[in-house]
Amino acid sequence: MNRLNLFAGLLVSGLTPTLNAQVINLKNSAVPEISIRVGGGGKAISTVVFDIPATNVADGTPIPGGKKIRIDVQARATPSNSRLVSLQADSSQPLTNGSIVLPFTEFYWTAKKGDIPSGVFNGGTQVLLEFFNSRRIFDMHDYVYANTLPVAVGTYNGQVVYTLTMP
Amino acid sequence: MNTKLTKFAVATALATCVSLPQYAAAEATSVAGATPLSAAARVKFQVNVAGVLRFRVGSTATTIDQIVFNVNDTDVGSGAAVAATSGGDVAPGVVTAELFSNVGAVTITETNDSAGAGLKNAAGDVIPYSEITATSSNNAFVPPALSDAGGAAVSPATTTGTKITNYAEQWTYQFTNSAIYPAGVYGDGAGGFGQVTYTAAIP
Repeated sequence: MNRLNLFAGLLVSGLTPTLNAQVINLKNSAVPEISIRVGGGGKAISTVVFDIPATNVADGTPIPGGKKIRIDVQARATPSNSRLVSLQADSSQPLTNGSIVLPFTEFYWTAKKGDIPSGVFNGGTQVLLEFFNSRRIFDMHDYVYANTLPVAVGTYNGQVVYTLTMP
Repeated sequence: MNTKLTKFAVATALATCVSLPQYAAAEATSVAGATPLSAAARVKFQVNVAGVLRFRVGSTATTIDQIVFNVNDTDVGSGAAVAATSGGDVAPGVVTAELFSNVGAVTITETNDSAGAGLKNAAGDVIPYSEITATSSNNAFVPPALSDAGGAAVSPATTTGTKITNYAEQWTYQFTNSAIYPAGVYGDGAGGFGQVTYTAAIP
């Protein structure tokens, strides 16, 4: 009962547990565990920047992003190969420039290895990869802006959420 | 009293646990525990789009199309419009007309090199520019009416929102042939003063 009171007191005082960003090495443990890393690691969110020069606005010339993004996922549970893990990308929220929007369907990516395959954002939630535990999979994605839509001058910002789930 | 406080604390703790997401939306996340498990990480995208105004009438690059009308002796001053016999990148008398802007509404103004005189022949006779008219494949993007003085303007509507103007049309020229003019060759290459300039601008 005392231990219960102490636990409750910590939460009430605002000291809620936090999840530190880290890469987990697979280890011999009975506790199921998954991890995902997108970008350079740490808690900062990586940003891919696309600069569209005046001579190329909406002319269909593909514009590569300024950096490649590492996507690293792993899932562990016992026994191995017992759970189908899914990696999804949610691009449903378009980039915005004030009230002007730019859909993520204008972006695609090429995979360096193909372990997390190349594709194009569908403007919703899409499955990128499914695999059985316990495995670690990573790849490098090189994003490209297709540059086919007439878009107003300005800076557009948005983000894609990658989610790893294990049933 | 102590019992009540304990119950409140436990209830709050449980509520807090339930409301916590199963993942932290950071760039790298790991979670462990009872399944199902979910972990998320995000990547940001930023697109910097430059402002641009593109305008094309006729051929590409620096080529200036010369549209020629031949009025036969039987047609002189008949009032029947005369189609062009040559000139134009699409067909005789037909030119490509493209306009793209992502900055705001555009105005197109016509001018010419006649200093208000109109089309001349070698003898100094004049045909006013108003004798040449043009139609468009899209009534939303028509050229300004030609005039000797120049300065006529049109403001085509934006095609998306308030900043995007995007047209790819064709303009077709004809000689209206509404009056009888002295025989001769008028305009560019003859009496001169036969070049029209369209200027697109963002006010």
